[in-house]
Amino acid sequence: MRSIFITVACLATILAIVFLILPLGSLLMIPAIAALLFGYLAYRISDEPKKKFPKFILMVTALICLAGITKLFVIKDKVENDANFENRIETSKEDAIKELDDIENELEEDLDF
Amino acid sequence: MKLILSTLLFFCYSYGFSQENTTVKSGEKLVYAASYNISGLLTQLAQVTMEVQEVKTSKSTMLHLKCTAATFEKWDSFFKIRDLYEAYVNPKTLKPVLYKRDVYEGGYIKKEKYIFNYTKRTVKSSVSKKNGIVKETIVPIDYNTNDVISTLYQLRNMDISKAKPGDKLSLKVIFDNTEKNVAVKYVGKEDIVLKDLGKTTCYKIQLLTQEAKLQGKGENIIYLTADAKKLPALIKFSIPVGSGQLTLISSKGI
Repeated sequence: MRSIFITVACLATILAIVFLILPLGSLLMIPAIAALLFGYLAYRISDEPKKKFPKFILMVTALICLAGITKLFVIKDKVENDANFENRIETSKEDAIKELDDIENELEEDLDF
Repeated sequence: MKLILSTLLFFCYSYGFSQENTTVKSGEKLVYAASYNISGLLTQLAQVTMEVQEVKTSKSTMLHLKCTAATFEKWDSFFKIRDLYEAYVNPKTLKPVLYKRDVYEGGYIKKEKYIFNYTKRTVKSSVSKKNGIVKETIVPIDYNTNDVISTLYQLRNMDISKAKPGDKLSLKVIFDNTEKNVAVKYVGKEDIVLKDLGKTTCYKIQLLTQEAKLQGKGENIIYLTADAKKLPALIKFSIPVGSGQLTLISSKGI
């Protein structure tokens, strides 16, 4: 049973690390809570000399949670100033005005015809 | 036949779909936070901005309906989105003259241009992808066919106050070079709570389509504020690749 709890806790910790690297916000809390739960269960049923590894998992997960919460408050949802995109928008508008002039001339010719 | 025609005309008239524009004005800017459903949790991915500007050509003045979508900085290194959707419309009727779509989605590039000619009932379409090859086609359309952007603004111009829950209206939208049938169903009034705007009473509008390319497993709902401006306060979408929502976070020039 101990090895099952440790395996699940390890997998959940790895998943939490992946979610921490990816910008998935609070989603990392799901595997982190699972890691804490199974890590704690493994710690409880472990004999005294074998408590070190579950303790390590709990510490790592706690650090991941802390890093995740910090990230949530420090990194704000903002859009980068993208000069390339701004240029694309501006060019598109300039082209559109020329195209609209052509369309209007064509429509006029159609009506004259 | 006359009866059918007059019923249809009454239907369109009663909803005011073809009525003169009284809602959309130049200078309006709406900013949305776009969230996507990842493992059951809504995760904010991008910012969507919808702007209305006046554009002068050598012969007339048009409204430029511009919609941009850009992923937040933290997502850019994983999946960068820089989408631009534009429609140049008649300021009185909101009927499109020119529609442009220029998308960049994680390396995928697509450009579309539709020139509407309601006299000939055609759309001259130009589509190009990453390879730069431009494919030009003429697509036959109905008089009531519009692009996606102007359709959204035309919905706002409808006189919903007269509609009863369950009332439906059929529309045609040209997207990906094909005309698609969309039904608009008025569900009723509903109070929604938004983080930045608080409790708002809205008209709940459901978009129904048989098109597999547009419809996911869930519902497509637009909540328009139940006032004269009918701002899209919340848009819930369900597409084949997932679901999400657009939440209004700020509005200017309304």
